[in-house]
Parts: sequence; C-alpha cells; structure tokens
Amino acid sequence: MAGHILKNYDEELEQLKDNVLQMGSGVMSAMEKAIKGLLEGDREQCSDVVDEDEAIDRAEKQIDEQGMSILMRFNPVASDLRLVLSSINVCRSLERIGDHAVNLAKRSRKILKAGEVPEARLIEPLYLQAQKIVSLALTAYSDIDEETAMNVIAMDQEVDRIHKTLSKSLSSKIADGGTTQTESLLHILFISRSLERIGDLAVNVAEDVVFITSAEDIRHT
Amino acid sequence: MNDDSVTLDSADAPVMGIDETIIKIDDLSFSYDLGKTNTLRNISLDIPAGKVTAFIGPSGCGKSTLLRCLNRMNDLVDTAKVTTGKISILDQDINAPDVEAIELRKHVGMVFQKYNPFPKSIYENVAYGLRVQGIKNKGVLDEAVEESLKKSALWSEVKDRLDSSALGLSGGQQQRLCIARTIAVKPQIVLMDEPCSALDPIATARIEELIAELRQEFTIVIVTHNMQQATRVSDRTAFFYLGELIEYADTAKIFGNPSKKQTEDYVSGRFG
Amino acid sequence: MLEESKNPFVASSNRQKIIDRVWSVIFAGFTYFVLACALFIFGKITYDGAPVLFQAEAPFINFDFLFTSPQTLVEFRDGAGELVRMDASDFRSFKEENPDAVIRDEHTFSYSGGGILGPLVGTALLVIVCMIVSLFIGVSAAVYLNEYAHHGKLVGAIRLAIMNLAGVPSIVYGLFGFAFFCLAPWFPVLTYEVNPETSVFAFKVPMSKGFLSFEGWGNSLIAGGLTLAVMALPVIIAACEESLKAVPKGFREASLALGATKWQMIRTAVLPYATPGMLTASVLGVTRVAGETAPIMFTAAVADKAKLPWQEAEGSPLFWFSDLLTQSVQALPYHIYTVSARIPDADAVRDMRYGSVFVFLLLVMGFAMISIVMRARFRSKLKW
Repeated sequence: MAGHILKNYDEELEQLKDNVLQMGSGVMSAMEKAIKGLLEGDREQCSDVVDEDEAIDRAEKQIDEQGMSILMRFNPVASDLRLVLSSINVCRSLERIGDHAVNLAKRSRKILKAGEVPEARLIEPLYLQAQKIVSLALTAYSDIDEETAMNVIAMDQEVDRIHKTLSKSLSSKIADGGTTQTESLLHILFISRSLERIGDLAVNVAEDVVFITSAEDIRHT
Repeated sequence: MNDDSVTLDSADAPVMGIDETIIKIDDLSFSYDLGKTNTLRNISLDIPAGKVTAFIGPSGCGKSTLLRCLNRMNDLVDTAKVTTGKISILDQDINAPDVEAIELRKHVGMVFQKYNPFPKSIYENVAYGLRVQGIKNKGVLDEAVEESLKKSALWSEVKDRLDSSALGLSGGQQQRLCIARTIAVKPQIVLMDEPCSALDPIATARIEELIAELRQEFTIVIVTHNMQQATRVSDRTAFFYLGELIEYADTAKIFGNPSKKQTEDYVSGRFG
Repeated sequence: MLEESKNPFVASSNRQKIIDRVWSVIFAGFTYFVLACALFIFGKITYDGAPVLFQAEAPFINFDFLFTSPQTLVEFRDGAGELVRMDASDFRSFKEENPDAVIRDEHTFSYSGGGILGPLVGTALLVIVCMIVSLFIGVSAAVYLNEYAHHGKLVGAIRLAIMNLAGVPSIVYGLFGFAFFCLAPWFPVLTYEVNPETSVFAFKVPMSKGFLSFEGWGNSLIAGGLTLAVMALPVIIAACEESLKAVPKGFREASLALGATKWQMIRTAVLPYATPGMLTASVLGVTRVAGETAPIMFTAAVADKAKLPWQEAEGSPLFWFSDLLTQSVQALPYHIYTVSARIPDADAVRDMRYGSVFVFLLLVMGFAMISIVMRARFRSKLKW
C-alpha cells in the first residue's frame, strides 16, 4: 500500500508496530528463560524473568501512550485505525503472556528449590508448542498476514490437547498419593495451565491480526 | 424542536418510508463544455430520503458539480450539458423539458460554501424565498421567519434584532441564517456545498449539530472536504475521484473498511 | 571576512546607493512635473477668474455674472479720456439719458458682456437629457451584457465595439449627431408649423391645432443631449458592468437557489447593490462629456440666444415640451470656445473668458466631488 502523504504518520505507525514486536520478543525470551531455568536447573534464569517483567510493563504503557497520540494527531481511519486499535490489544495480550511467564518462573524456582522432579521434563513439548504459536502470532502481526493468523488459531488446539493429557496424568499421580513431591507436581500442573493460557492469548493476537486485514471481529465466534 | 411543526410539515411533504430513494441518479454524465469532455462520468447512485448523504473526494473530483446538478444550478453555465443518463427527484426526471428549474429549486434548497446573506435585515433574508414566491401577508411571513430561525437554532440569538443587518452577525451565525433562509421555503431536500469550510471549529460544531437536527425533517446532501465531518454527520458517503463514483456505502463502511483500494487510500490520507 | 568593520549592516557599495538615489529623483521629478502643470492651470484660472465671480463686498458673489445672459460689450473713452466698458443694453440707455456725452474710440465685443446664465442653463439641460438617456440605455445594456447574454463571440464583439466607441474622437460624435439626429428626417416633432423643406411626412394631431411632422430635430437640445449620451455610453456601460460584477456571485446563486426567476434575482439581489456604484460612475462619465465642445457644436449649441429655452417654447403642454426639446441652446463649453477663439483678443474680453472658465471648472469639479463623496458613502454602507 502506498505511504501516507504525511511521512510522519507512516513513521509513527511503523514505530508502534516495532515497539509491539519488540515487546513480543521480550515476552518470548521471558517464557524461554523461565522454562529453560526449570529444565536446566538454573534458578538464576528464573529470577531474571521476575526482574525483567518490569520492562515489559513499561513497554505496555509506552505503546498505549503512543497509540493514543496517533489517534489524537492523525485521526486514523479504515485499516490504519484497525492497526492502532489492534496494536493496543496485542500489547495487552503480550503483557498478560508476560505475567504468565513470571508465573512460570516463580513456580520453576519453587520446584527447583524442592529438588529434582522427573515429571518436569513433561512440560517441554507443551512449552515448545506454546512458544511456536506465540512466535507465529507475532509473525502474523508483523506481516499483517491473515493466513498465518488462522494457522495460529488452528494450532492452539494442539496446545489444548497436550495440556489436557498432561494435566490428566499429573492429577492421577497426585491422586494416587504415591509420591513425596505432591507440591512440585501441583506447580507443574499450574505451569501447564499457564502455558495453555499463553496459547489462548496467542490466539487473541491472531484474532486481532484478522481484524486488521478483514475488519471482521472473529472473537467469541 | 417543536413537535407540532414537525407533523405540520411532514403533512405537506410526500410520505417517505425509511430508506426510500428520493434522488435517483442513473448513469449520469455531465459536461461543462457541451460534451467535449465529461466532468462527471456514468454516475449512478440512489440517495435515501430522510438521511444525510456526504459526497467526498479530492478537489476537482466532481462532487460539487454533481451537487449542483441536483438543483440545476449548473444551468447558470452556458456550456453545461447533461450528456447521458438522468436524475430523478421524487420520481420525476428533473431535466425533462417541462420541468422549470425555479420550481425544482423550491423543492431542492441549497446552502453555499461561503455564507452569503443578502445585505438586508435578518428578517428580510429569511423572508426572501417566500417573497419571491409572491407571499406578502405579514402574518404568514412573520410565522415562517420565526419557525425557520427556530429550526436553525438562531432564534434566541437574533429575535431582538430581526431588523438589523444580517452582515452584523458572526460568520457561523450568517451561515445558520443562510440555512434558515433555505428551509423557510420548505424544501424536501437541502444541498450543502462545504457549508463549514469558512468557519472556525466552534461554528462548525454548531452547524454539524444543526444538521443532526435537520435530518429529521429534510433529506440532506452535503459536500465536504473534511472527512471527520463526513463521519460525524452523514449516514451514507459517496467517494468520487476524477469524475467517477468510486464507492458509495454506509459512512461506517467507507471509513471503517472501504471495499475499494482508492477509497481506502483517500480516506486514510494516502493520496500521493 | 569583515575584519575591520564590526557592523554587519554597513552598505556594501556606494555605487548601488547612488544609482538608487538617481532613479528615485528621476521618478519624483516627473511626478512633480505633472503636479506643477495641474497647479499652474488651476492657479492661473483661479487667479484671473475668481475676481470675476467673487467680489469684496457682500454678498461676495457676483450674482449678475451668474444670472444674466451674455450680450455685447461696448468699450469707449468718455470726455475725460477715461476708458469705460458697459454692456450694450446699458450703453443704449446711457446714450438716451446723456445725448450730449462724448463718446470716442467706441469698440464692441460680441458675447463678452453680461453674464453666463444662458450657457449655464443650456449646459444643465443638455446634461439632464444626456443623463436620463445614457443612464437608461447604459444600465439596460450593462444588465443585458452582464446578466443575460451568453458569453459567446457575439458578446465579445459587442464589448469590443463598445470599447472602441470610447476611442472615437469627439468631433466624429459631433458630425454623427449632426447627421443622425439633426438632419435625418426620421425623428418626429410636434409643431404648429410644418417646415415644408425638411418634412417628409406630417399629419394633423387630433384635438389640437398642431402637426406631428417627421422633419428631423435640427440644431436642438435633444439632438445635443442624445449626441452627448452616445458619447458617454461606452464609459457608462463599462462602469455599470463593473458595478454589476462587483456584486458577489453568491447573491445571485442564493437568490436563484431560493426559487427566484432571473428577473427577480436581478431586481432584488443585484440591482439594489449595484445601483449606487452605477449612479456615481455615471455621474462621473456624464460630467466628462458635459465639458465637450465638439459634439454639441453642430447639434445643439448656438452662441447667441436672446431668451432662455423655456421662455422661448410655446404651445399646449405637450407641444411646449416638444418645442423645448427642439430649441437650440447656449452651452458653457461652446460659449468659452466662442469668446476665446472667435472674437478678437482684447483686454475687454478677459473677464468673460476667465470668469466662464473658472465657473465651468468649479462646476465640473463640484460634480466630480459629489460623485466621489457619494461613492465613498455607499461603499462604507454596503459592504459584504
């Protein structure tokens, strides 16, 4: 699409998108650190995630401000308006993914503190799938690509499926009572739940991308 | 607004259902030089009664020309000519040989870009249209003047100085006076050619508010350069470019999710 | 760069400054030359003419000069050798009263005695006729050209023709008027005595003793007035068109959009706002042609006329009016031409020359002033 007559307007929109993407990569690295910390037994990494959450919150505020300033100054309409509104929504979703990452990190720390748990390994496939769709959702947003966005929505079912299987097996282990690590298992169960939520949030991002391209609100449908 | 006046006026006007077409433009081409070049090309659009329809587009796109076709104001240009198609208002071809432009204009009023009250008193400005129709009865005139000024939200500001010159009013008031003058003739359709382009934001807001009031009684067609204004005041929007109608749809659609790329480019400021 | 001088605004070169100065002096010089010419003309005429019109004792204005008609001036030396000047009528009664008076070196000067009542009245009548006719035709033509006519080649040609009329020498207008209004027999007069030589067709007007005779107007007030009107028309049409154009297009559009017909629009939304401008501009135009001698020389003016036009006209009101219009008249510019160019130069005629010119100048300036004041008034009143 041709650029705006106002160069400044183009630059601001580009900047807004860049900031959202940057926030996205920050969130993804937080997820990665939290899970890697768990798998590699590195509590330092987990603590980093907790500390870095502040930066993510700051980024959210900045994007909100920037979005408002664009609305005020350029009165965007049509796809530009949708881009700005969606970007604000996407950043809201990313912030919540960030919160979940903090959750992951805190629980990972607690698990590590309690000692080695073999079940922690079970988290990896779920994490990989969740991470994949968050990354894809961000790509869809970056390219404003409806097809990729639709893929994200489809792939979320896999996340749900893995989460269901995992939580079933963990619950039954806890119910059996044949373990001394009940608390850690509970933590792993919550981690699995967080990862499932992260998948849902990635779907939200994908839905926002669809709104930008088609002006159709496909949420709750 | 006073309820009695509404019922009274709608009694004279033909009964129009919601979304009934009042102006039907069918494959209209129009030329300012006897058909050598067409300023408007093959325009077809139906304007619904009782709604506000906005014409937008860059300068020279033909939106004002089309507006002026609707009350045959283009007759003033010697070499103006409708080359193809027709315009029907209230199911009557307005360029038919037995149509008198003067009678047409009593049904299709017009408000101009530059407010242009006559250098007469406020009262005489509003009474002008009725006077040229030969109405001399003071009572009838008084009533019409008061009613029109009330409808154009000007009555409270000028009721004590109806006999002072209209040129003593502020720009916004002068434009509202021009609107009062237009509706005093009781047209069914009011054409507005960039009515706010010479006004400051507050006067503009007042006129927009007035348009919102008037839409209950009149069909309004407004040409505007201010797209924000189109989004605020209109129900339907037509986008013109280089003498052609590019897209015509609900205003929310035109500014939210236009179907044509040209429309999108124009409304979002991408015309290079 | 600027090492010695700290002031960055010092002139860069003296030469530029001098050239600038020289040109400004040249331009100013020519401007003041024009001013000097104007001052000289007004000064000389006022210096020599004012004493004729004004006098030292009350009522300070020499009303005799304004309210008597020109007559012959007689100059002679009396017994004591004193130079005496008196009007011919006074001279006759002086001789009757003093039959023994010694009169030597008697000279007479035509039209140089008395006042300028006849020429003043004649000029006034000519201006009135010219004004009525030229305003009527001029406004109509301007309205047609500006409001009705389609802007095609024909209208362009008409405009060009009107412009060209403004450049025609005044003597040509005079000759045209003479042929068209005075000699040609197509204009009728009401008369009691048909002129058998010029009349081509005449019939008796019912219920009167007179005739309607197609015999041309001859040397007459109406022929002169019309000739002046034709001459003023180009200026008046242009001025009226200008005034019409100055009325904003918005008024016309608003009027039409409110359902007015074209004539209603012109009557209610154009003419009221153009009239002041048309009037004042026309007054100026008429004032200018009123000063012309050539157009009236053959068509209306006579040097000598015993009575004022309305004193000479006779008959029933309608015939009287026709007679009035077909009277020849004296006129101020022609009177000035006569006393200045057609009678021999002598001290005795100086007063009449300068007095007439001075009064004429005051008159024309007065008219111009009135129209300028009028225009300024209307402009401040009608603003849009």
